[in-house]
Amino acid sequence: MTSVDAVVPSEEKTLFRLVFTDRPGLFTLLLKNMGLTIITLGIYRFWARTALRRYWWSNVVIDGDSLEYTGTGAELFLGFLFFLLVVSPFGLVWGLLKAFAADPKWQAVLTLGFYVFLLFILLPVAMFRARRYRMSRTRWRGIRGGMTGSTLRFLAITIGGFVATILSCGILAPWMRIMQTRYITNCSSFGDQDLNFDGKSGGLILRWLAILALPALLVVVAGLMLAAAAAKHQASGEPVVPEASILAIIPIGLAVAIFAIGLIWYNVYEFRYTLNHTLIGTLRLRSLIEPFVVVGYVLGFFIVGGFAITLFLGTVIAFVVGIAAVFAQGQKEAMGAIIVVAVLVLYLVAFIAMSILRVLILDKAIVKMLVDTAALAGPGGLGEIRQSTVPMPGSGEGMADAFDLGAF
Amino acid sequence: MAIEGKYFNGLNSARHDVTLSVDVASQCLVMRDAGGAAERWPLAEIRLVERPISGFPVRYRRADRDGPRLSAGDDSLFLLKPACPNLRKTPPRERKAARLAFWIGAAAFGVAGLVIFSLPYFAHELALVFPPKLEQKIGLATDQTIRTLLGGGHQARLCQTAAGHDALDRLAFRLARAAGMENPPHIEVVDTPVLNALALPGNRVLVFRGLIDKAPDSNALAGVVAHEFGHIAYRHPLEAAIRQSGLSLLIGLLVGDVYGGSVVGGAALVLLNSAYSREAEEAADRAALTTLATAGIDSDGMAKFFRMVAQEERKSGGKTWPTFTMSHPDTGAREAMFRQEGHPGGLAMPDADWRKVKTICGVD
Repeated sequence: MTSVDAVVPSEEKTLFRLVFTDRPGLFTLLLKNMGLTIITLGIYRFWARTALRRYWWSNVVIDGDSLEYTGTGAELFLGFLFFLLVVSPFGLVWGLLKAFAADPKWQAVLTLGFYVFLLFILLPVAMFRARRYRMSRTRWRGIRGGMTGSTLRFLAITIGGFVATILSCGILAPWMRIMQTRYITNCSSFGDQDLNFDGKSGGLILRWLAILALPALLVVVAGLMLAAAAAKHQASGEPVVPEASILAIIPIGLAVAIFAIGLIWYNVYEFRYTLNHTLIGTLRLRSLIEPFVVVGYVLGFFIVGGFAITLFLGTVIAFVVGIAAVFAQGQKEAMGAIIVVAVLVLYLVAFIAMSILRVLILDKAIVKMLVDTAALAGPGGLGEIRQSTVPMPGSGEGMADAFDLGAF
Repeated sequence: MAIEGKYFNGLNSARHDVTLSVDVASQCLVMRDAGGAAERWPLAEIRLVERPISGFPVRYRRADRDGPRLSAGDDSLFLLKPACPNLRKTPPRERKAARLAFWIGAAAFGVAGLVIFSLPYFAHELALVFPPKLEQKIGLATDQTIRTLLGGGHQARLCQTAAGHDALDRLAFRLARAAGMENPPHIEVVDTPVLNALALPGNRVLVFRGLIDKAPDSNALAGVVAHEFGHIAYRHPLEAAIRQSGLSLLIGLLVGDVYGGSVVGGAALVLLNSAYSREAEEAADRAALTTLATAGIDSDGMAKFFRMVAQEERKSGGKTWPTFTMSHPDTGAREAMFRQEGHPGGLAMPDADWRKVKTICGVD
């Protein structure tokens, strides 16, 4: 890995590397979170998320002192209750309308309307408020972050960006994201130091286009294959050969896979770009993360993990079928019931194991790399930051919870 | 050897290297920097920021979350663990806790009020002014959902032998006239062995083949149909559908399904299980009694039917599908009511008609 020092221009006098310290106890924390969340039918999830965040935060060390997450599960829970009170009247009216619009056409219109409402209004609001909450609950050396700004303004920016993105067939998506990042960052502060974002979306749009190009080309190829098959059918009068349509699935599948990988790459690249263009007071954030390494981590985890889970499930299912055959003594129905129950239980176990392993192995590896490749650089030190005077929100991210925004 | 730490005053990020000691007399932790200046924390106020892990720095704060911080090596625990009684205690945030409790209480109260009072009232009022056209559509949708539920994947078949239907229509007409209803409800027979009948929104009654098969005579069928007509006259099905949709939606919101996808399915299920209140059932029974008396149909058929069904239940030990008695508890009391308050009378339909109804599904 390249050294952080290599990218610091000589006039930037100081450099503070971020270090991920890898405190033990993540596995037990995840087990406890999962167990209590299941037992409490999901209510514990607010406290689980808080505990996990406390873990991540406390592992990030800057200049010998780690971050501190001061949010509480009760605050998240309170935010969720707020969300219920605000949204449930809308939901109730909408649900009744939908239930009684027996006409499928109207049901479709209502469903679409609701998704538009979620996507355009609630989601940006939730994003913005969640960010504000997390900023205010982050401390370092007793100094906390803060965020001002208007939710409505952010909503307007997001809707504008979304319209531009749709009109440009998705090409301007990075522009929208940079607009959002700029507003959020410029509203943020740490202690008495304002955060500033000086990035532009030009370079990002070029990379985004590169990621869109190959999948788009493959989709065109698939379209041409289908068109050719249809033309042949018209010319010869023969029925459309299903093989031709099936073959068209190959470029489409390829396009989806390439786009998924490209998306991971792009997200990491954008993260790096965002960090490198963020200033805290006079200090600039630096990141040397290699997007391809993260892509490798994700692919590796899901290929190896998927293989291991399939192998495990295959073995156990074969075992269960054998046992079921012995116990059921030829009774087909009993055997079927045993197998169905066993498969359901196994599916649940695999799901839980996979979600714990994902955080334990993949998330941790990625976070560690993100942190270890980051630094603060610039003139001046870290000793003169005064405490923040930005007001703190009382409750946390109700809507963000409902939409499950933000892994951390 | 002195135990060392880093003190941050909570006002700025300046780091003060301090040595730690406990002053027993004043019950304070004393943090002294190189210049001799000292910061004092009462021992009872000192809290851990997070669970200490050996080999990692341990962080302390005072009861107030916003205040200063102390970070020290894990050897500081040897000094502070015996001295500080409240290291692991959550700070006193009574105000916050009280507010939280208030909101939880308000939310619970609100939801309970919504479910117990507002929703039934709302459903009742809405059912009275509900547009009939829309009700028809809901009835149709519920009909299809119920038949899909009964059919297990594909829709259960409707029995449509013309002769049988004519006989049923004549019965419906006679009972509706006796009950004072403007439009005779539309009766459909579903080809399923389930022993039940239900009223749907939109003036519809579903009779399951199992009920026709098991009914001792046409008077029993007439009694059940009159009971369902009673529900329709009181608009119970529509009310239940509205109530259930609201409830499904509420539950969906609480568990996170904000899209309310299960609303219609839930309404169909509740109708299938006939989850009306006891008062609604009694009202329908009374309506059935009056209707039978006005139409001149012997109510003893219904009483016989109740007894037969109860015996049937006992024999099979309560099979999987809900039946007339399972969803309407207290069969004995209802049998007694029909026996005592019922009136003798004639047959609901001629024997020839009853035979046609018996074979409405094509097989005997």
